[in-house]
Amino acid sequence: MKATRNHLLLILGAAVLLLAYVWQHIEGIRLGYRLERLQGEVARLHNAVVHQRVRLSSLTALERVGMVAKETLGMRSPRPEEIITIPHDLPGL
Amino acid sequence: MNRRRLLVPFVGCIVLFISLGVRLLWIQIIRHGALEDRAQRQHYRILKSQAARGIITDRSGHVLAMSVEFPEPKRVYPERELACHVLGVVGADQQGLAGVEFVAEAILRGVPLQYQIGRDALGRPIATTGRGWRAGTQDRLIPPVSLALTLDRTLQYLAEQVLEQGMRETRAKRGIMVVQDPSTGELLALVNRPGFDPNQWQGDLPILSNAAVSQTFEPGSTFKLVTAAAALEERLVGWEDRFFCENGEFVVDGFTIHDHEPKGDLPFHQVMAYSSNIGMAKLGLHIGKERFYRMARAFGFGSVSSSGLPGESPEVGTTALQMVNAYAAIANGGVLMEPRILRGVQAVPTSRERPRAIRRVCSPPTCAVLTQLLEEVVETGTGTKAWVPGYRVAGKTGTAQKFDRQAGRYSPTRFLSSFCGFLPVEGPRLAIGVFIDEPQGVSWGGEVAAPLFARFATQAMQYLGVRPTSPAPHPTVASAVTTSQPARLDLP
Repeated sequence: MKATRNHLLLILGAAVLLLAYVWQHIEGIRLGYRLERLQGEVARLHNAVVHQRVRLSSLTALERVGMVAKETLGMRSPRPEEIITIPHDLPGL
Repeated sequence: MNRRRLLVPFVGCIVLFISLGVRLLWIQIIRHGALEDRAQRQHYRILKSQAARGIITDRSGHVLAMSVEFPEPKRVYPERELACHVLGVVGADQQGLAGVEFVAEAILRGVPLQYQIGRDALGRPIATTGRGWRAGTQDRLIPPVSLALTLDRTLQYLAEQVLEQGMRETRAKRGIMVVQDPSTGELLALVNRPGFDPNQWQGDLPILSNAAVSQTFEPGSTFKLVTAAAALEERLVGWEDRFFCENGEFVVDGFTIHDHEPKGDLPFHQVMAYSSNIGMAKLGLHIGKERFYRMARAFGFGSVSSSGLPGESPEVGTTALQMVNAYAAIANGGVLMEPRILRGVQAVPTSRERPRAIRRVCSPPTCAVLTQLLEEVVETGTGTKAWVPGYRVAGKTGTAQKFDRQAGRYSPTRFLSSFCGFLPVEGPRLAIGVFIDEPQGVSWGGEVAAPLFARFATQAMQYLGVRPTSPAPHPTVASAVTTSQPARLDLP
């Protein structure tokens, strides 16, 4: 009776170990698929960041800003007497 | 009998097991390497690509050139014409053809990438485990290198605006402006006009030429700085030493030299202020050609400056960059700095990142006197239109006749007008050179280039937040304008 129980426990233990091995193998494969999807997503987002950076640089190009200021907002360059220079080395700045 | 009947299947089983064992040995041990390779080839795939070409930024990190996938790699210059001659262009294969794109090709070129992905039985990608990786594989996402230039985007823009406006006003053929930090040699702006949009470049090679570093010219009176420096350094002249300026015409070695305004006796400081060719020629004869040549070489004329820009000319004659660098040397107390355009690569310090002094050209006392001479040029001499409200300016005008190769003589109608100087005199922040090629109408450097210097310098001082130090209005700004023709060097 005792020997049968020991055999059963041994088989059960082996089955658990086998299941654990199979589970981690399947989990590894599942994570592999997920990791690959995420790497694709990272590459896509990286490309999007590059595009947005180029767009930002184009939109803030000084030539464009000057054109928008003059043509859209009706601004003009200040006359010399209208400019007050604030030195960078002024205390508190 | 029974034993014989059992022996047959037993031996059969033994043979079978031995066969299986041998096969197993063949597969698992003898052919292990080859079969594993085959399995890996089926399961894994090596992909090759190229990391994106590096980014070029100004000194503050503003993007000037960047590569994007559209879906093919494409080089984009967001600021369009800004600093086009400095940046250069790339070809269809994304290889630098001119400017920084060309000289920094080794830094900017994207590194080749090789990485491995796994595939399942259906060909779907699956991340590999450590077991599958082979030597030489890399991360598939390597951020592009970022190369910072010494240029300041805003100063570059202001310089371009002022130069373009000046060229429209004078209907000039070409224009150059160079802006340098005298203490470090860093180029803060470098403009050639006409320009081009590198995004739209169609293969026109001549337009890529960076004339500021590659085009030599006869500099005209801005070169008098060298004569004066040689004389002062050798203690051959004093502030009040007098020169007879022959009332406007002087023949030496068969050449007739004219002054734009006939003068009699002039002290040395006024010879410089009025830009007397005759007074300066006499000083030159007094110095002697060897001393003069030595000083010209010391200032870097006739040699390549290692600015990091391609196409620099070592010919006899001067380039705009050499001339501004010479004035920058006077501004910083006499040390010729290496003009630099490359500031650094990302956070990695490069050998180019630190300012490098080439040599001491003249002593601080000589520089102090030269600065006084140049300041007088702006206060009472030919350069009054370079005056900048609130700041003390030192500089020199230049008006050079261009040599007409076809006619074999100096052209009476084609000039190169220039102004080189620095400010503020108390602690120079900028050395600036303006060169206008073949202006129409008035050709004097003091009339054509000096106002552009003042226009740019006024805006630059405000942008840099330099505190004004000279509140008094200019004493002679309206009275010193001259209308006679430029000095002429007549060939016999």
